[in-house]
Amino acid sequence: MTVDGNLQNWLADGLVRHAAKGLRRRRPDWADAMLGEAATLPQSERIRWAIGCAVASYRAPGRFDGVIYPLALLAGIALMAAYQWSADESLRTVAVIALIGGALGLLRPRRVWVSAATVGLVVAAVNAFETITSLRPAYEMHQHTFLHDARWVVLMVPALIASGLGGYVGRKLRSATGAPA
Amino acid sequence: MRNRTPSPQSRAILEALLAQPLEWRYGYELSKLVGLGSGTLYPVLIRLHDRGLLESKWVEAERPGRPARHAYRLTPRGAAFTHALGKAREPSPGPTGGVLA
Repeated sequence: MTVDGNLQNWLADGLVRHAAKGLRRRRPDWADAMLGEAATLPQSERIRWAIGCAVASYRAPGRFDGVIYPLALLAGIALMAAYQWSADESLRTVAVIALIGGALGLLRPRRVWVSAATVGLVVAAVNAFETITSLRPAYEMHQHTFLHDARWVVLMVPALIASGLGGYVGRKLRSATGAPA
Repeated sequence: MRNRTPSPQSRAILEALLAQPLEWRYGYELSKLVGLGSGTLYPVLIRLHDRGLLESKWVEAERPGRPARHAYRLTPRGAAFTHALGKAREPSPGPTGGVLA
């Protein structure tokens, strides 16, 4: 075997192992299937097959199931916190909470309570942060008390309603399209 | 679960497997049959398997020390589904029953 052939084999093995590693947690059988198939291929096909396996591991259904929701949750918290820091419009705040809560509910109907709790507590948390650090956005003129901050936990209510509605729509859509919940 | 219209790639794989429904096919063999690379083949196989249209089994390697291979064939449901797809694609006969006057 030539140096070029060795390098191709090394690359192909690495790519298939990478693909299998990515699939292992959710699709262990398919990870082993890729490894088993790659080991039998003719030399001339190995690198092309291995590149395809690496691509397939990212395109496989369910590959990012465990990542998308946590990322969306973090993005929702960041968005809500940024909004709360930049403006103090009660009605708009509720609307933004409803929008983010609804989107998270739609994305993961089984996590309605997590979505609602996370989004609904952001305003109270931002206010508590202001109280603890004495850092305040420009619009805020007064120092708060923790009691004042705590009352914003009430925003859990619109968050829960919005997440619940989002979750309801999400379940309906999934049952209509046959997608897993 | 509702049977959604399969993609052209899924259809190609289903039809290739239906040609010899009792035969188990390896992934590489299937990719050659339908002209798909592994990047498309595996996601389609996974979806078809998830939908219960495809079954798989492990086949021990002929040469010792090699890992087992995954082989695939249609389930009875997959065969019925593919038959139905083929029928739906056939042009319907006209009022003369398809016989030209």
